[in-house]
Amino acid sequence: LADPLVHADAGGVAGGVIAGSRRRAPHMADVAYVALTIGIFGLLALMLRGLEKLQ
Amino acid sequence: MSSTWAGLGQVGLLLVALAVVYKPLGDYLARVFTTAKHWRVERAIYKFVRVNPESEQRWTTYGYGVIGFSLVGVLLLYVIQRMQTWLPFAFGHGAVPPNMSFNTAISFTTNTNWQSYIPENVLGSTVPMLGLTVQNFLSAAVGIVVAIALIRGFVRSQTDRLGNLWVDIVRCTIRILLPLSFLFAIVLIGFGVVQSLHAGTGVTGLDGTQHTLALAPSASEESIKEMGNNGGGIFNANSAHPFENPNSWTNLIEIFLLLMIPVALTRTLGIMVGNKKQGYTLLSVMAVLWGAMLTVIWWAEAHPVGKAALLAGSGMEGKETRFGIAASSLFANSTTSTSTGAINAAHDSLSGLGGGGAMLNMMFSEMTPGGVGTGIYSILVMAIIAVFLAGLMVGRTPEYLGKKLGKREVTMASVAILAMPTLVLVLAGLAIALPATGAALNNSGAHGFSEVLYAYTSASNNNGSAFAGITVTSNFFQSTLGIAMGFGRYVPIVAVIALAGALAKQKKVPANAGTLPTTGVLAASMVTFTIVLVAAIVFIPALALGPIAEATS
Repeated sequence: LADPLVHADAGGVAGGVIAGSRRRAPHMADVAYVALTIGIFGLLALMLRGLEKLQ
Repeated sequence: MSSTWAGLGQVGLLLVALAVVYKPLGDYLARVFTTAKHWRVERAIYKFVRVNPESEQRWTTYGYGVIGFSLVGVLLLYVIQRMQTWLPFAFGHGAVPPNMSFNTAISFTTNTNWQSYIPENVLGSTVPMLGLTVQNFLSAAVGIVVAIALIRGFVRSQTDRLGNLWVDIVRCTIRILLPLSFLFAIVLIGFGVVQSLHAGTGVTGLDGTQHTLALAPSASEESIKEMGNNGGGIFNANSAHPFENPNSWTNLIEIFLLLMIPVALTRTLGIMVGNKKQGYTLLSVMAVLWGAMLTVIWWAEAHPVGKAALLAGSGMEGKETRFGIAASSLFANSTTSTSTGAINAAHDSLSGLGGGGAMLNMMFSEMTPGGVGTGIYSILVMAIIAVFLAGLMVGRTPEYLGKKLGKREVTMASVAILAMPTLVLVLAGLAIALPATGAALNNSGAHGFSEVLYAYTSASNNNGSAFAGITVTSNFFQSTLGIAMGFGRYVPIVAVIALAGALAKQKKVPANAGTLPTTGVLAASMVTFTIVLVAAIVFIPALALGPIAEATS
């Protein structure tokens, strides 16, 4: 049931678990994807505000 | 019995089952969202989350609530996947990679359930149960409550209040989705769908080799997966997997489940606006287009082209022998005409015309009958455009359900309709223009183009089915498909809530001699024509490069 992607991740190659330890360090990719998520919803909130002004 | 008659029998049974539940379920849905009484468990939840259930919200508060609630849903789901290593029932699986976590989080929160991963290889049981299945309920509830908010916009007069988002979501989850999904999970278990918390079981193959078959709590996931129009499978093969969909009966029950709520919501509309014919008219539009596309897909799959299929006598590549052509076509048509995206056959193996039909279902903006909630609000928006256009042509006052359709209303309806095609065409065009995309495709030429077009059509419509044949694990695909899912879901939702706010502010206008009739055959034809026209204008060039080129070559 193993998946090469997950193994790479668990080995610290693709981000996530630091090799040789069980401590997790946030990866730059985590920061980027959280920022992208907030950006998408921020734009949607701006859109709602724009439509409010239209009314 | 010939396979054609068997297939027609299944369609007949399906229609009878839908007709049986139409009135009771539609009426019940209307009662849930109109009664003033709160259940005790609901009061406890309101107390816990400190919500006053008696206070109604302005449309802006309702809209910000949907956006905020969904943002929190995406972030929580992201974190749960990234922390899988520490969760129980992880079965040795590590953290899900960041790009896959982002794509999956946004996918399940938007009711898309596009899966860029192999579930049995990447996930244990906790992430699906604690994260993905929770969103199966909540994302479905969000779709339904937005539809109810729009209906309230038509019903209410001279107010800026659309109801209370939190009350609507809690009621939808507690009174509709949870009990029905529990009931149908038991039904599915009774018909042989697997329900297990074990990681897998060992079996010896015919050649004596030992294999491990993955197990999962499939039945409980399956019922909400179909009923909530989510579509994300707990196994990679989705509803083609025998543990998710073992036989013809479960196949029929699953198709029934994915159509049940979208169809019943037309009755709910009729009840809430006090004119059941309005609901019947929109239901007839949905039924005509659903039936037409079923005919196209079924015919195309029953008349295969290509040497292998002609020698075999049927186009069974990618289809399960236990379902055959008819049940596979029925499933493919129903899953793409709703926002489900579950599959019981490989859509990449559909014929050019059959695959094009599945794509066109989504390009109709999924309103035939569409997703839970999204179907009814999408077709209401399309009806507004149809009435506005027809009013301009014949010189009648554009009014719909007692509300005048002015610049504001039509602007918001246009935003809701144009968001999806913009996302599909821009992002698919961008992907095709990139040299790296060729390496991600299993096919070149028209079929390769269809694989990309299907992916962005599915994501932007929050369908989630895949043409497969395309590897989407790169950062580019994970990110752009995530963006398509996010904007494809919430831009129309924001526009629809704003539209509901604009409608609710208006005074109700009684119908007069100058009002264009919005029930009956003429009105239904008008809406049907508008749906087809909008999809044709926007998508025919793209379809010509993919499925049409493939079907005619």
